[in-house]
Amino acid sequence: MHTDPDHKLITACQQSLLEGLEGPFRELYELYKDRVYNVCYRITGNPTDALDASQETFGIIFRKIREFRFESKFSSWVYRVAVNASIDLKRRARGRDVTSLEALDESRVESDRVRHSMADERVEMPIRAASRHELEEEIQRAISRLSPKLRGITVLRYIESLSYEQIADSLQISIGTVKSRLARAHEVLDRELTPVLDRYYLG
Amino acid sequence: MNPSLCDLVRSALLEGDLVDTALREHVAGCAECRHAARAWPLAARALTELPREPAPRELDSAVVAALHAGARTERAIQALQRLARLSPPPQLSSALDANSEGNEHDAEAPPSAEVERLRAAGRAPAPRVLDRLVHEELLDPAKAHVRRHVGGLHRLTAPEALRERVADNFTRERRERAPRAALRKHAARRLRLVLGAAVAFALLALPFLSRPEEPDVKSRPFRVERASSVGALSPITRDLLNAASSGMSTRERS
Repeated sequence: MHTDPDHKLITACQQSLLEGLEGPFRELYELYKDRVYNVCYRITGNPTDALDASQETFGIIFRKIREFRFESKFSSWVYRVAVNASIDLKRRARGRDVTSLEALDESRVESDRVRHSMADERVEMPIRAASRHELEEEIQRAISRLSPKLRGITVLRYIESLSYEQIADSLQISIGTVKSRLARAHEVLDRELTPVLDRYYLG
Repeated sequence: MNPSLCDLVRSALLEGDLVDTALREHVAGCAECRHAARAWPLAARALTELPREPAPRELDSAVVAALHAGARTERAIQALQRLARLSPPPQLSSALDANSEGNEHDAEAPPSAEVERLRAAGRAPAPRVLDRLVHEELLDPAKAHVRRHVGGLHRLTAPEALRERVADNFTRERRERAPRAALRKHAARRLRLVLGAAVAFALLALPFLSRPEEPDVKSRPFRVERASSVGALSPITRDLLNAASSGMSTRERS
């Protein structure tokens, strides 16, 4: 049995007659909504899908919270549901992914335009901001190109800063698998990001 | 390249502590590990520095809607589970008995058609709509899924404010429409009067307008002759006159 920091809250949810987003479930929701949304956002790669995946995540949690037996940490379960909901949503909307990649390309063209216009004006801070924005987009694009399994692990490790044990617990895989998948993710990210990161961090 | 040492280097890089001397020496000699030792921490840093997005406000309402729909579905399932199972019709047991007596020597024999019919009668028939729903589900599961969710969405009752607003609009519109209607009525009455006068004028003027013109004597196709008595007329003229006056002219002569 894990000593779950959310034990009391979860028990309250399990014992009360949940009628919607109120009472203890509201508390639980407030506690987890940003974490869930960020995981969904980074895995799906766009705010609309992230919203849908987050909604689905909380729907599943609401329906299944009574069945939660504290065999793993509650947060691990929440992350698992969020990762799976996001991956499922991406799988279902594969057609839309093409559009979102096109949109990303468009935004890259736009950020290039901004960068050049900024360079013309020789403004120090906005250049840095535009370049930071460009870097974030490149990173998000690189995450989106990872396979769903590697994407989930990368997001949990670097966006949510989970330990290997927590990731293993969340995704119900061994720590060895977590490490090997993370190493594979790095190989892929390395190919995608090295030129951009060198430019940004090493000038 | 030493695969086991390379793996250890990568593992150490993931942990973020490449402190082992042997590994450091390996990195110095292995181009791939040297590249990884430089690139991986940068990627990790870039990923960690990605900004955290706060959950948007829309998430609250989206979750509320999803929870309501989910709760209703759950309640419906519970209600369905509580439904009593249909009991078989009373004839079934007697038919079964008769069937088993007939098949005493052949326990594996299939049940008679009568028993099958009664069993079928004991089952609740699937609603017709199920055919369509299953068809839709098989044809396009995603669309069917969406339709189910949309169908389960909570229907809102129109707020009282809407009724008031509609009533206000209705009253205002009627008020605006009233003077225009009076104006239209007045114009119609005037038009009727004008039309009536025009018709009366036309009726009065008709006899004058339709009176034939005085014929031109010169252009007449007959000749005018003057006679002092009937006897002085030509015989044809006399006959015509006689016919026209029904014999009066002849009598007058005689």
